[in-house]
Amino acid sequence: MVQLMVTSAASRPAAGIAVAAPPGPAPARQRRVPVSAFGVISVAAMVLGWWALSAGGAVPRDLLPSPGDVWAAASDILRNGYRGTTLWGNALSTLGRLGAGFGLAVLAGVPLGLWMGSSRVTAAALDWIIQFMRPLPPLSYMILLILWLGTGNLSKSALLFLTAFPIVVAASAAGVRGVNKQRLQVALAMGASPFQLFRHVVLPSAAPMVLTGLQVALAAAFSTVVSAELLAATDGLGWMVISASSFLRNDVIVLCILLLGGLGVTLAWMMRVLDRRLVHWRGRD
Amino acid sequence: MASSVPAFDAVTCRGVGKVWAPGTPRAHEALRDIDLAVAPGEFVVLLGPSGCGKSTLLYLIAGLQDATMGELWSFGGQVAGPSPDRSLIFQETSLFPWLSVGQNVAFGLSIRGDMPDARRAAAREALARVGLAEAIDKRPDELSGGMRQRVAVARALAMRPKVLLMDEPFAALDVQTRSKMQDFLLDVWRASAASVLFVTHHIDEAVALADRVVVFTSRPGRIKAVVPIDMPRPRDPFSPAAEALRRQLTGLLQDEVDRAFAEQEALPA
Amino acid sequence: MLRSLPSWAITGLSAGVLLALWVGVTSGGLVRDLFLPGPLDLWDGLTELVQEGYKGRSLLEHMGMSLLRVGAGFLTGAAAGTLLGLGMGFAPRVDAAAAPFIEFLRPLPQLAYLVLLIVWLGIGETSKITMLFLAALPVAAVAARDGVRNVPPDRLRVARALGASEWQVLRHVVLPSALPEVLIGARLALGIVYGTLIASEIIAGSNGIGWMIMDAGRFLRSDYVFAGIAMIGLAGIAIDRILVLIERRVVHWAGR
Repeated sequence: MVQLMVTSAASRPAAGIAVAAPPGPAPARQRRVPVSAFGVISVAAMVLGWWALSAGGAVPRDLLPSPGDVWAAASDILRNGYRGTTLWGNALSTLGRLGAGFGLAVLAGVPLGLWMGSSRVTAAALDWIIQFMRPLPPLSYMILLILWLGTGNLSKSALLFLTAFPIVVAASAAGVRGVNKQRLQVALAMGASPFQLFRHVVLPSAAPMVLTGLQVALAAAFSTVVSAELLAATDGLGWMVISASSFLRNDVIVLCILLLGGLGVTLAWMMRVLDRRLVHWRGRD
Repeated sequence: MASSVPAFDAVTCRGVGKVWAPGTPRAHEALRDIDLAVAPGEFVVLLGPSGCGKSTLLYLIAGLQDATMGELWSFGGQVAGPSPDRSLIFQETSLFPWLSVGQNVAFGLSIRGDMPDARRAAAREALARVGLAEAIDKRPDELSGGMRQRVAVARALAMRPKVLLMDEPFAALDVQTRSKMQDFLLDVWRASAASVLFVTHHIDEAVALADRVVVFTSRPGRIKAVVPIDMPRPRDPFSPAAEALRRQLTGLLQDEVDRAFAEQEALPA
Repeated sequence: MLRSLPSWAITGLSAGVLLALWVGVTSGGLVRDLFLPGPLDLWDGLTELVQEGYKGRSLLEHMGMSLLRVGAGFLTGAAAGTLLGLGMGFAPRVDAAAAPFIEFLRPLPQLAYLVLLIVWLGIGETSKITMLFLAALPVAAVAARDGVRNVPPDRLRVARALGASEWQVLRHVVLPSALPEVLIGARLALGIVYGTLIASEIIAGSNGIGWMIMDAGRFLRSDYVFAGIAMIGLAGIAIDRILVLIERRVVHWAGR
């Protein structure tokens, strides 16, 4: 009886929440418009609305540039550059700073985190510093870094390093602490040396956590690099945004926002691909 | 002391005791006065309520922990650390998800420094013994729970151990799979001629498997009784002898379970 | 030797070493206090700040302005994001329609669109709070969507088998099941909002604790800068703790 009720209830065509239940055959009425079409429709509607508002004259063009204006600005900048810089040059500066700061944070943070995860003494000595740094908004100490290191690339890379570092360290340490104890004991019982234990059990066990940390850290660093360029830089996409705003070039601002959004999505996607490659066993424990 | 070195026992425990975190406020006694001798090729089941220290005894024999009291021997040598002679088998979740099935089975051999070809051959052989030769290049998550557990057994067998130490290996399996795995384990055990120390809190499992059942008290774990089983295998779980044995073991365990339960219930208050 | 010490002693030891280094470096004249004020200078700066305020406003006022902005942006953004995310979890069409924008907005550096918001809404509070709203929204939305998606199907089946209507399923099963993830998303969003606000005050502010740091930095008052950073850090930790407490109260069943 109960069994019957469950089946009948489960097969009831529930409009929305059926999503959370295992996918069943959708009623024919719903199948006519595929769900993914709603994504296309909504993006198209957005662009169309933007175009109607700006090109139609409902909103002054200098406040909201039309899609055409942004396109024109893009092709103009690609051909003639922007105030003596090129679009690619600016994008590369931003990415270069990001790469330097984030790369250094990975090189230093992963080993330190792994060490803190395996050694109680190291964790006790250093964890409080990491825990204090983590909630600090990076830009709050930017001014100190400028004071110490000047306004050049060094202070910006240091800023990005300090943004990513605590996140990477905390994730790596947590990854080590979460190692399955039985796996450790199996390896120990087979006579694994401390190095073998680390290399063959601890490292792969911690890898999923470490990579999650890297993804979060890269996103934070990307956000910070643009902020830092807004504050003090002579090139980079962030600088382009702030420079365009002082010349009231809203078309360039919108162009940069689209570029930065695209760059952010691409970086996140690249990290996900890397993640799948490196830790193919994620979620299959 | 040296006068009676137990040269022929697979495992000997003499007055073994274990206290966790001794000398601290968190100190508690897990095991006390364990005297036990396991013959080569014998199948011994350690039966007791949860948290009675039977797993601890397994770790002591494996050499993963040091006993606080007494001494442990294996084949004439004192246990002073892990040895390939004594292999641990846990639940199937102890497989390494980042390695293929073959690499999992060859794990101990690569730790030992064997050449890749030799490792693969040994892994293939060990997998063949558990009936999974064709799964060598699969990943653990592509196998069922019972198959994964067989891989975990193969991983231990690949080291050609003389003693198999099994810590509730089938606890996570469903009843049908568990019963199949018990038959399978008996086959493997007979073929390998190794001794088995098998920890469980299931009376049925003890009746199905053991030459001898060692019943533990609740914390601190002591040996309450040793019950030999000389029923021929394969055993009929519904035979009168099995029924009587179950009743006897249930009686032995009941007080301990009640005590352990009362302790656990009292804890949150 | 260190191994025999309890963890708190090691932490204390390491803090002590750092403090000694700080005192040594600053009082020995190795570093000018323009770059790194000594502990005593810092204390003087802090008490001065507390007693006299900074540029016509008390320290509490600066802190209060910042927290008001954070509160306004976070509450509106997290509420809207959660509603949107619940909708996305329930209805695949809403998800398909909203996902492109959410996915675009999430990794976008918030300050990049602040510039545009300032052009549209002026440099006052509206543009900042709108930015914080947009910073909190995608984070809260994704968390709420995942929360709804991760409701165990068995729970839904049990509720339906007991005769619950769709509305009752939603109210009594889906929402409580999704709540832990919603609250985790809220915490994440609050962290991002807080960091973004400080950054925005630094770049385009005329008051608030972030602006104070920047302004003090311009006048090379590094004691004020350090004091401000400490305040920002402590307030950040305090806010996070409060959210954790709320989380424990509201979803006492989480993780069970």
